[in-house]
Amino acid sequence: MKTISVHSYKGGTGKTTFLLNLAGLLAQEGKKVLAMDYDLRAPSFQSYFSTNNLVSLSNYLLEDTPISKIIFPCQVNDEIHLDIVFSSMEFLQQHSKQRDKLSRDDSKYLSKLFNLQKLISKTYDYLLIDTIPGFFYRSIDALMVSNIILVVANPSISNILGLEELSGNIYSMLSKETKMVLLINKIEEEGIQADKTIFEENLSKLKKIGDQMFTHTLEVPFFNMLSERIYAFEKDTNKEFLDVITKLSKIIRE
Amino acid sequence: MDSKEKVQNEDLQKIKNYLQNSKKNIERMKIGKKPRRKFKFIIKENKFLFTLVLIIIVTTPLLTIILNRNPLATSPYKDAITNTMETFESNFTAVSGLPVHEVISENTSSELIILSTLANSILIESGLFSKKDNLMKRISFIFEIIVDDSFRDYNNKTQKLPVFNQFLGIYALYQAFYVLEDTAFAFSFTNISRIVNTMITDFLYYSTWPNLFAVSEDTSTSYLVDQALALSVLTTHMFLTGEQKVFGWDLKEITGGMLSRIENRFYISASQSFFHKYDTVTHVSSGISTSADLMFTSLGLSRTEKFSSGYAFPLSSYNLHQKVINELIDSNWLVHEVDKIDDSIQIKDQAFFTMVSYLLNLQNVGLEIENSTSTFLYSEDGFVNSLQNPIVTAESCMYGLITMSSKNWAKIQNEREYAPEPRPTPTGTGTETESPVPSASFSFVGVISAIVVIVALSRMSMKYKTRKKFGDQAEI
Repeated sequence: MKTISVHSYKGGTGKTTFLLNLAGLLAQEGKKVLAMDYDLRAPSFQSYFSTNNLVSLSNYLLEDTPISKIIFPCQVNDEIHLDIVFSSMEFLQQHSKQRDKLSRDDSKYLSKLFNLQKLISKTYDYLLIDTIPGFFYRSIDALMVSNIILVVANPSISNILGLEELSGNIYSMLSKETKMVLLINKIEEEGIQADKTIFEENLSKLKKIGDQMFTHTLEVPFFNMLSERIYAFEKDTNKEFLDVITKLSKIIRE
Repeated sequence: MDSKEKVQNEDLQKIKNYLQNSKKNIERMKIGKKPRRKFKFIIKENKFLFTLVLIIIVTTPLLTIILNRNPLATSPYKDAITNTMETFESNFTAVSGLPVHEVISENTSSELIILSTLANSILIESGLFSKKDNLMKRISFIFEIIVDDSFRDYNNKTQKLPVFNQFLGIYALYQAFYVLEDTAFAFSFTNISRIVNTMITDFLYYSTWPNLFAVSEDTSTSYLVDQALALSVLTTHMFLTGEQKVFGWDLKEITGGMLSRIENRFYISASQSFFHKYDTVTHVSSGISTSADLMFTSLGLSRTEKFSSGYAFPLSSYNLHQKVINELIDSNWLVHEVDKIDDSIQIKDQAFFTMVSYLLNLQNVGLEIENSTSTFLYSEDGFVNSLQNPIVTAESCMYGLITMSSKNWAKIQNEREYAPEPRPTPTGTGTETESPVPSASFSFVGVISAIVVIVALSRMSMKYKTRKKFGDQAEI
């Protein structure tokens, strides 16, 4: 089983969209995939699926709820199976002490994630983990257990500076065997809204970081409908976007 | 660098440290080991257990101190002891514990010093008074004045005390030996053995009638009470030191001979009664035995019954003790001197009979006498000398305290005398004071520790079950 974490410096980079679309594509190809919402600060898997489940990842991390109770199947049709682990914002809002526990530098949660990974390793081909953006202990946990890390960044100054910080302080300290992939997203959107010269400079800087610090760099063109959808499951699909995801899936399989 | 940047750097460093530790933890988990967690999180998760352990750690020494130093709550005579000690402290002592006020016509004497040492030591051993240091200071200060090769008169150091006080003094020295932490030579077993040797040499062997102690070196009169106390002290000396011989004297032989002489010269077998005294020159036995004669004889017999002295006395210590109860103790458990209707009710007899009863393991009798003493011979200020002359003196206070302390103390003394191993060698160094109270605190700690262990095991068991369950259900 391969474990892939999607990380970024800031929120709103399209991290979750990439993750779930990648998960959908892999599932469509017949792979057994588990997508886990480990973005405990701002979970968003609920936006992609209609669910009212009450048991979330926090229950496993904090209350020893069995793994089987937190995994929910998302059956698109008879052939495509995608399993999901949700996180609940409501749970953390209602249990402030529990939320505090999850934000500590306690290796207990790394251990729980490691055990989860170990227990499901024979059941799934891929475990995809959506992480908390930025410097957080739980993000570190996810990065530590991953074989591949997808980092999503926009060509803005703050993203560039953040990526430099992350690369210098975190990514450089990870295992050499970890495959690092940089996804430069919303290029055209930034290109329209920002000053053209500055945009080009930023894009160049991002690519430079990608060349220096990452195994692969993918440039993703702007899509009007990069909304909360999994295109692989839709009849009227976004072919251009799926092409990017397909490239990504190839890198992952290498 | 401004403060915000500083905080950010610190936070970043924490993240980096966590990452480094996580790498190590991953390696540990890969080989089946548990990750290393910060101790503060383990404490937070096991707050209950850690709090309990903390409470035990903090309270154990406190409880030991409390239980050792102020266990008066367990004594029904708490007020009597406290008030008596207050009276004693304010009227009779600066440092010495001897009378300092003119209002009480009591002179400093060796007898009073011996009694003070005995009472204070017993009180410490009983654990019924918290100001142990005060008592020990008093014992140390006053006793060496009167001890040489034997006990001397306080006012005339060339004069030896009568034989009864000599042996009572030796008995007080034993008790002081066990309570003083830094034992001076006067309180050492070496010195005690020296005094025992002097007693045998000066009062027994050279007396005109061997195997009986004369009241003093220059007289021919032997009293039963002297023989009885001597029997008790000499046997006790054997038990405590583990030595049968003192300076060449065989204590078994001496006590066996004494028993024979007591039977021949003091005992009337037909009535199972005793004479009060015997003249070693005229060979005449006379006088009716007093309560003191009989209770000390009972004590002496009880000690000799613990080993084979080579001589069997026709009356057992228990039967003699019963005889005292039947003939000299009234329905109020007051000890009379010669019969149940005489007017002589003295705190001294109450004290010694309580002590003897507890040493004979007759707890019920001891309790009755203790109770009657506090009822009839205790005033608000302290214990009185006698019913007929109810004044509070240093002496009466000390006898009262002996009465109240005997129950706890006798248990310790009896355990010592039954010790299978020889007692501390006569080096002059003290041993730690034994008290029944530490064992109580030890039991308490034991119970609490047991609870902690049970709780810890049950929690571990629960965690194990959860893990097992978790593992089973994790098969998807």
